[in-house]
Amino acid sequence: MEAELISKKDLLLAKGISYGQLYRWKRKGLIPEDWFVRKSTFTGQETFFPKDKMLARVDRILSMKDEDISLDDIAEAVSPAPLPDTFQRDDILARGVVSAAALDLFAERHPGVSELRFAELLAASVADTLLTSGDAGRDEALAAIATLEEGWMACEKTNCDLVLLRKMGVSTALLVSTASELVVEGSAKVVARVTIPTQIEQLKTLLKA
Amino acid sequence: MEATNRPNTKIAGAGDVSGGMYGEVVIAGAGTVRGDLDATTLKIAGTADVQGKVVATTVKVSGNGTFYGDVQANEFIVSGNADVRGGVGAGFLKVAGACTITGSVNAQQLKIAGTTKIGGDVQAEVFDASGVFSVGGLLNAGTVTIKVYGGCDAHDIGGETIDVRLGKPWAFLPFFGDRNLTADTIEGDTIYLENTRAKVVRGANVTIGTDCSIDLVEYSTSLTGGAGVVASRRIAAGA
Repeated sequence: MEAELISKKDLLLAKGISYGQLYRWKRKGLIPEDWFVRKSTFTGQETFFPKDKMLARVDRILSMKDEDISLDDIAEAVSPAPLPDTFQRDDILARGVVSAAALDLFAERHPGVSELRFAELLAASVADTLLTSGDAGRDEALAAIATLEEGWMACEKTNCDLVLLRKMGVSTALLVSTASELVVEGSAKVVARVTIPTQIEQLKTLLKA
Repeated sequence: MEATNRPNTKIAGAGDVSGGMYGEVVIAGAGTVRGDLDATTLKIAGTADVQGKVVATTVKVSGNGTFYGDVQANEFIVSGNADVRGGVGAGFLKVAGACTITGSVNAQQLKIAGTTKIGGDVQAEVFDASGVFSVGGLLNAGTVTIKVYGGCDAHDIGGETIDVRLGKPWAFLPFFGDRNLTADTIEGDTIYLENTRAKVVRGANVTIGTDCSIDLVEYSTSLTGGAGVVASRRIAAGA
């Protein structure tokens, strides 16, 4: 299940950007290193990108540039690095970053905590996504929070996905690296797969709004 | 960074420095730094083995320095010999002597006048070379200026402005044997090349000067010159 690729040349043509721009964005960390896929073609080695992700990213950068946002600020917005700030529960709720249901689940694990670190906010937001999509039940969302909180240190450095598996009504949550392919037994089902870097990006957008 | 609780230390004969926080560290004899070093200034005028990583405002190597970890500095000046087994992050990296870096280099500005071998990638806003260099990975810089005095090579080169010219000969010094820049692909907006061997050159405005050998040029706005180019084609404007 390999994602469709787009060559560098086609990308530049499609979006009207120059080589210089692309290299600058790479230097500034606007495009993750592992999106640059080198492949041999008849003209020698060429660079390809995962098509959908790359087109979306270029659109995002171009639209942010139109708003006169500096490259460094764009880099922070699109990078999966956690923010150093902590967040007040009431503030998050009022701004609609994460729903009350998800925050209540978080509170169940950490009673009385009203200040969330970024990792905790991320866990709550993943739970929110799972609950809103209807993919997960309450206990499963809770398991997702627990898995993310414990696994955060490991996945902070790498791109990872939270996967929810279910077999005959019993479910489990796990973290796998984004690129990896999952093979599960026939009677088990991958209920949901949340890409953490994407989730972080969305979360940061909501926090900025 | 309180200078008051950062002791200075100097090795004039032979000795060890343990890792930790320092003000100025000078190794003028033979010394070993055991552990990670966080210093305002590190000067190596003799021979030094640095066994941990280095974080400093200024690192100057005028003797022989071997660094077993990464080097992070605002200013990293090599006028002697430096062998960095890790990577380098620097505001300004200048090599006037000889420098080998096994990992990658991230710098605001990089100036090479000596001999430099970098195993990984190079990322810089300004890359200015008039010596001999080799980059194992991608050389990515906003402005790439190369005066070819000897054999230069990079796996790939990418940037906004790329300018490669034959260096002017010095009156009393003969050229090194081979005077070419060799790269697989060179991609940029404005490209000027002399004495370059490449498989593919892609850009908006491409000028091919003397003594080039290029398999394929792809340009979107203009191509000037073209002796030594096997094939060229115009691609629709995207740049």
